[in-house]
Amino acid sequence: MIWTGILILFCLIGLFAYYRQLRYGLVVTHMGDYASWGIYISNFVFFVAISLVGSLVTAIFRLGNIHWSTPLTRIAEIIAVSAILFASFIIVVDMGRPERLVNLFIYGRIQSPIMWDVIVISTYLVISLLLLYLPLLPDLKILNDQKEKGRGWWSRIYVLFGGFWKSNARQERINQKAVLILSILIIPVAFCIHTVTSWLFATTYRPGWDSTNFGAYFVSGAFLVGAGAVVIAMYVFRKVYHLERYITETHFDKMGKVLVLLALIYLYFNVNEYLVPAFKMKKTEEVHLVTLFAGDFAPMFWFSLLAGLIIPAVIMLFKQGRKPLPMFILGIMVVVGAWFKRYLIVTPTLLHPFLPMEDSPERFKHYFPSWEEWAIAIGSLAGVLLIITFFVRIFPIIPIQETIAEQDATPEK
Amino acid sequence: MQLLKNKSGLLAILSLAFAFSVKAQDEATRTMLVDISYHMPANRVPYLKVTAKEKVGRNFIPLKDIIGKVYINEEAESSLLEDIRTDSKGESRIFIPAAFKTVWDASGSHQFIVVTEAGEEFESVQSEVEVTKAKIEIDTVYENGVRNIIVKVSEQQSGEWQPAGDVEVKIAIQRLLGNLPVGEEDIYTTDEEGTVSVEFTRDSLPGDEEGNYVIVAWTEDHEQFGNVFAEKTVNWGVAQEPQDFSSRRSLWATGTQAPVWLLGLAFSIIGGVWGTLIYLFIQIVQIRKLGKTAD
Amino acid sequence: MQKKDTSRRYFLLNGLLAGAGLAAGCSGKTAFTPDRAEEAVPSGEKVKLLSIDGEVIEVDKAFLKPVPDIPYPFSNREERVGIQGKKFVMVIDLSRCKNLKKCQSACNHMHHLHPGQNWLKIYAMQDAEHTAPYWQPATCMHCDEPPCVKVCPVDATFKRQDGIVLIDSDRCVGCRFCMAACPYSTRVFNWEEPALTEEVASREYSCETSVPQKKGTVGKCDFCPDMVRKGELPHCVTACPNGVFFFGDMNEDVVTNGAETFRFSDLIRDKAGYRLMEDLGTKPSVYYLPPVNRNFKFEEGLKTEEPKPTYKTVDRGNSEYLRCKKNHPRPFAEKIW
Repeated sequence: MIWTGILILFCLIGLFAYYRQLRYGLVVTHMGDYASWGIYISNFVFFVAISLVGSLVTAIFRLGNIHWSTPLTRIAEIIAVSAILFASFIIVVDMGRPERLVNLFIYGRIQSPIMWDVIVISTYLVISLLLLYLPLLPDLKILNDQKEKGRGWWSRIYVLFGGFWKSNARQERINQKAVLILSILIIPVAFCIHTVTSWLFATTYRPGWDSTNFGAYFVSGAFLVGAGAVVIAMYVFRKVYHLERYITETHFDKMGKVLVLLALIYLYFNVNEYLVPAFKMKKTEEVHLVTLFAGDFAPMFWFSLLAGLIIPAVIMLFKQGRKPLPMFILGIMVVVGAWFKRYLIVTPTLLHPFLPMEDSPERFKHYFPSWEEWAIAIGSLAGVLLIITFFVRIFPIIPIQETIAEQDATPEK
Repeated sequence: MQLLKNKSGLLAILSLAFAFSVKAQDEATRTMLVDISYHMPANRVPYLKVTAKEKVGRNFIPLKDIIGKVYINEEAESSLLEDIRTDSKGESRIFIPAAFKTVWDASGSHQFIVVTEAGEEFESVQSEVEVTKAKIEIDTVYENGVRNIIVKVSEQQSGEWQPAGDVEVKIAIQRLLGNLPVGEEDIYTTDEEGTVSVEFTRDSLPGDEEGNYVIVAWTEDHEQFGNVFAEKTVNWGVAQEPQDFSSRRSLWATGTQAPVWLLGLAFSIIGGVWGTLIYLFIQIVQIRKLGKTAD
Repeated sequence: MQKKDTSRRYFLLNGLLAGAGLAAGCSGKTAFTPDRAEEAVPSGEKVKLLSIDGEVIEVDKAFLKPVPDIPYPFSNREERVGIQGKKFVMVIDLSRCKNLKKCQSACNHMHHLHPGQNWLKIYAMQDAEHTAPYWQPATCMHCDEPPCVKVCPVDATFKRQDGIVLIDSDRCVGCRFCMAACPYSTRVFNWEEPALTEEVASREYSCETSVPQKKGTVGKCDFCPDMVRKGELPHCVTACPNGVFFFGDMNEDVVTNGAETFRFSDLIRDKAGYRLMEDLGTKPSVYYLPPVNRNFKFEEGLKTEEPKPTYKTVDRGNSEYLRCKKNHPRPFAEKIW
């Protein structure tokens, strides 16, 4: 209850900040004509990134016949749904004229990467919702059957969404087939959402963005942060709902190994992203890279790289490092590091334009978010957590039916 | 206390200084500059232009709504051509009404006088211009592969058109925002015959769709003739195909002009994915139906 | 003498307007006004005027009035298409720019820009440590392959057939993707309600006048198509006392700064004109003439400029490298590895 209260409070503060922004304009932010995108956009990229994990755990693992991950699918999927939902909210928040959102549908230009993003994000949201919903059907029946235990008016929701599920063979066959199709479909769409998001930057000329590596760099980073988020959620749900029987130490161990793999892949793309331009030191890239490596942004840069990537990967190489508590801490490090990483992708580049920053108000030459920006960013993070919190209050976070089937199939467990 | 005293003293001095400056500003007389010029476009209907402005610092500010009267030859009620009022550019344009035909025809030279009304801000200002009726004619000669422009200036003397020598004329090719000099020089002077001959060297200059452009010749604020202007269309230019790249499909074109490959790619992907999704929705409906029938 | 056929009337009309244009410092088919004037409905009220030869000529009163400026007579559709058969181009002569900033103040004033906003910026440039510093005024480049237009999701910024890239502030959603896409940092954003007088704020918005600017939308240099329609030069061109800016129609192959008129192709060839960041493939419509044979010192321009380009030596561990404080164009830095 305290938890929900705090989250609601943060959301309300964020809403109040947004009200101020609507009233006075984007001037309440500290963005300027140079840093014309700020933490709203980095937050957006962060949400899109985190949402990718839904496709990793539910689809890639499912298609790869990896069974241990079954109890984690719903965690991953609800994270995906709520994150992508807030990604779309936050992009509206960033708009100078949110009331003209409808122009995207009236005057939409298919040439614009923003249009592509609108299309793939809405598609991904629908697929994720379906992937959340379809495996939930059998569980809704189980919950319905337990009605007499008195879970109050929730049961109405269960009836509304799943009252028609009778667990007959034909229904199950259709459902399984649908989930299979979705699992295949979500993979290219998931790659698309983050690749297209990376193209919002990579289709420009700016140093630090003008990279052919960007799509792969973004996607690999997204899998890492998403997996980190799942680990955090696993730990919390396990503790709060006493799910030790279902989310076992083995799960943490295996997720640890997955994280190491993902971290190595991401590291590989990081090396490509920074070392190759740094070797050449083209004039336009130089200022940018020097500020990252040794300038104003260096502490954040090295923090995100070391604490958010290298150190967790090294620790998780050891078995002791893959125990639940260390995994939880490392998960937080990964996610926090990833958030700052998105900040570093968006802001420093904008502060290093091709032409000098002159004939512009002094305040445009630097960027540090205003309280309104922080409040909205934190509010949106709280919003994501709030959706997850409400979801787990209403629905089982462990897919009951699938987990039972899974455990039946592997009797030694 | 001491501080407060100091402050109030300073304030008194400041306010005094302010009062003085305000007073000084009031007393400073504002002078209006009024100018009248004579214009003779295309050898047809001449007009007079009155401009009113004020010098503020180093800039001239046009004065709007200045009222005045323009007279011909003498400042008398019978010679009043028209009442004027300047527009937002500080200008007013008047033509010579047909009623003055006898006066106009009587002489080759006339004086035009403008007198502004005295108002609250400015005193009455008078300005005049004396002009001799003049004409400019443009002729072109093409021989031995050389193009020549011949400009002739004539003035009216005792009812006859006579050649006007030693007159500075500008000869140029008319363009949208400025006139391009026909040759190396900007200004040419007429000989005793009143003519100037210029060899035309601007080859392959773009013309309109048929290769036409306009040669113009004019005197600029000539002390005797004012602003006389003439033009002649020649077919010396390179004909230009009207280009309209806005109908070209490209990534920067409007939404309706998106490249075909992009449209194809985008819509086939969207169609494929959403087709599958619609199929899945139908499947969910199917599951619902199966559930209902099972009852 | 009294009866006039239509063709003759138009001839006269053109003559009259041509004369009017001449008086304004340029002549001829002043923009597209003759077409428009011919569309003007005759009032039926005739005026008798005298010609040079004493002929009496009868003209409809409606044709004698100058074309009114306001209300701006073009529809949004017309403004999006642009002026037919034109391809506007600007030439900026760097050898003449002393950073007087008259262009900038004229532009800001005429477009009623919010304080602090500049559509036209003047950069203190120095390409490398030992190369000459120079002043570089920069307008919107009105690229022929405009990266900003490519990324606009709603056609709010568009390329017209006369080459001008404009913004429709009535459609802009304020996503600022165009600002990120423009390599010339030419676009500015109305972060707050622009400070406008009531009169300006109440004017009907036009993409061509770019007035009034609107909160939450992007703004930039528009090449003043409203002025060009009137046959006049953009504000920056007329404001510059040194004749730095030349403007014209590429299809006519002529550019002018008001006082001097050159053939565009000759000027670019003889003075080795170039465009900014040619390697990006944006194909700008703004050409620069190199800052050669200047008869003034670069430093003279600093009088109008408060901060001057400064370089600071920053100590970073055992290596030292030159770091540009803030003003420097392409800061040069000794490699730290």
